[in-house]
Amino acid sequence: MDIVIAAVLSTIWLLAVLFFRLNRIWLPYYIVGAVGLAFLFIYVGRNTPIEPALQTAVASGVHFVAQIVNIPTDTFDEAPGALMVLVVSQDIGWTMLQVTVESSGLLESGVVFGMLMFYPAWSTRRRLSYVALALLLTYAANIIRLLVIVATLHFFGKDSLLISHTIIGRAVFFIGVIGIYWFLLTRPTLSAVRAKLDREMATS
Amino acid sequence: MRVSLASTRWLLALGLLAFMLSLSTYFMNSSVAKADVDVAGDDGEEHEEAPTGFGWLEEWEFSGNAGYTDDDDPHAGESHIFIRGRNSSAVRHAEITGESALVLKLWARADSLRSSRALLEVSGDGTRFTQLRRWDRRNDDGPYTFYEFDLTELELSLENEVWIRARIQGGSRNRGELFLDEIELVNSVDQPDPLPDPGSNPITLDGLFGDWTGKAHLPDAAGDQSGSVRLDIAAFYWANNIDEGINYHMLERHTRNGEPYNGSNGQRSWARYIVYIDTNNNGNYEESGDRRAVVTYVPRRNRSLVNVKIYPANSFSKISDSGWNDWGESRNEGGLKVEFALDWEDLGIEFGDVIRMYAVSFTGLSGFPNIVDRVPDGGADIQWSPASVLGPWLLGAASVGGIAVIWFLSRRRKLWT
Repeated sequence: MDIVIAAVLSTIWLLAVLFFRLNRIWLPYYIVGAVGLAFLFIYVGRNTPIEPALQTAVASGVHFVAQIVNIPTDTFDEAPGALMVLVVSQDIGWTMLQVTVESSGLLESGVVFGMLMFYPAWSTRRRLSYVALALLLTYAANIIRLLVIVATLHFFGKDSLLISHTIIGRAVFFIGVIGIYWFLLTRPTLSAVRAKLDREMATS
Repeated sequence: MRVSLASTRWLLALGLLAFMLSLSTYFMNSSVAKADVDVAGDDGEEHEEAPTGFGWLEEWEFSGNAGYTDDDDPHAGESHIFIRGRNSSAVRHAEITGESALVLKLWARADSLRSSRALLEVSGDGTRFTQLRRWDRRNDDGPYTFYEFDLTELELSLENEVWIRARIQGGSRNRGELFLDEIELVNSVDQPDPLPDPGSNPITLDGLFGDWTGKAHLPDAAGDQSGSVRLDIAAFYWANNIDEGINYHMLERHTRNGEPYNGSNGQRSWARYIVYIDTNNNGNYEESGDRRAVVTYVPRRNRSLVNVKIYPANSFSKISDSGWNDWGESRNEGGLKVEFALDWEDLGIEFGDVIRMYAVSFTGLSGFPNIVDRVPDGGADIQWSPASVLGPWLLGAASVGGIAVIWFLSRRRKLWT
């Protein structure tokens, strides 16, 4: 039943996007297109092995870097996204982190995917290369976020879990994602607008 | 500017591709693996309780000089089956109705055959036997060897029962020996792999432990217990299934000699464990809201008895009692592992709660336990959120709060400008 609903909604979305495109109603075209594609991306990710694969990739990436900086962590083959961190402060022991949909980067990847794929006036090649770069940067920002959480837990104890996950980690990731959006969306837009203004001033 | 037909087609193709991707997960082929389902077995040990082994219709029918012996180096355990001298034999049969893919597995060794022959045979009616394996002086006097025979390939008329016979043919009365150990008759059935993506193998309380492979756990060293080796914990596992308000756990203990399980060094005696749970994540395990789950595990020969009772941390008023269930390994399977479930309702926790926990093995009263082993060691514990740390409601509140802040700031900016 889920699949049927998704198929119907996807078809409606596609028809709406085509309608706005054919009739050159650009703002709704962009909003509906970008938001719909983001939802589609996330839906596909959550209903295929993409999400557990992404969870595993994030946990493994954090585990790999944590070993380099000497923070003991562990991952498990049949628990995708599970990352166990050794806590050495206060109550010594282990904290089990779970990379779920919030922290796998799937949501943010879907949003940036939708926004880039519908960005006006870009060639398909440019869009696809920016999408690839955006997904990679989002993955890296997520690794950094989780590393901050891991390090906070390791050095400041189990009581820091909520603060590190809710505030510190999110702040780090938020800054990273804003930076990605700036670099891939805002900066090229400002450059294009500046170039156009310069041309108009030169000809006037 | 009219939209080009090419870009429209491209958009349509993209939408269709996304749609097909979402469908494809339902049509993925999984590979098929074989799974052995026990029909009958005999570990070669002459136990005090009869009948020996499991799944057979009768005890061994020994003729001549045959039986169990502790001598002559059994393959595993303390004894094995021997057949010695001319016209000696051992016969046993099992019911196989409905079993379509029978495989006989066993360890065997032949010694000093000279002019005699040792035969391993199978029959569907107890009278006409088909030879599976023959030993003579050319291939005797070797070490124990593993043999596996696919009985379905022999085109035998096996319908309801199968007879296994081992005998010595010819030679002298006192020479020529055949030894058998670790005999298994299994039905090797096709079984789909777990779903291809990792982590989709849910936990099922069934006394089988393949679903725990690769799950989150903490190992514990052998020999660190302060008491009986039967209470030496080897590992503590924990897991959830999606959309279930249940914490699943598995406790594994070390073998009698601390070495990997080899079929003969398993545990035979009962074990008792407690899982302590700090439900409000404050490091104090003795508050009324905290819990202790007392697990009693009794391995029997071919099954187990497992009971789980949940109590508040600071009282003896029982919150729940699981009754007795077969959630552990039998003695034949090693007697090492036990799995159980703790309902969130009994624990007093909800989606998104963070808990701390540790497990102990103990003797004495569960309220005043003599702790034998602990995992993690040294007073440490494990902090775990059985679901997302943040939880959807807190996430939603944070999002609404963030939007409100941005809206407020943008209004103030408009006032300034």
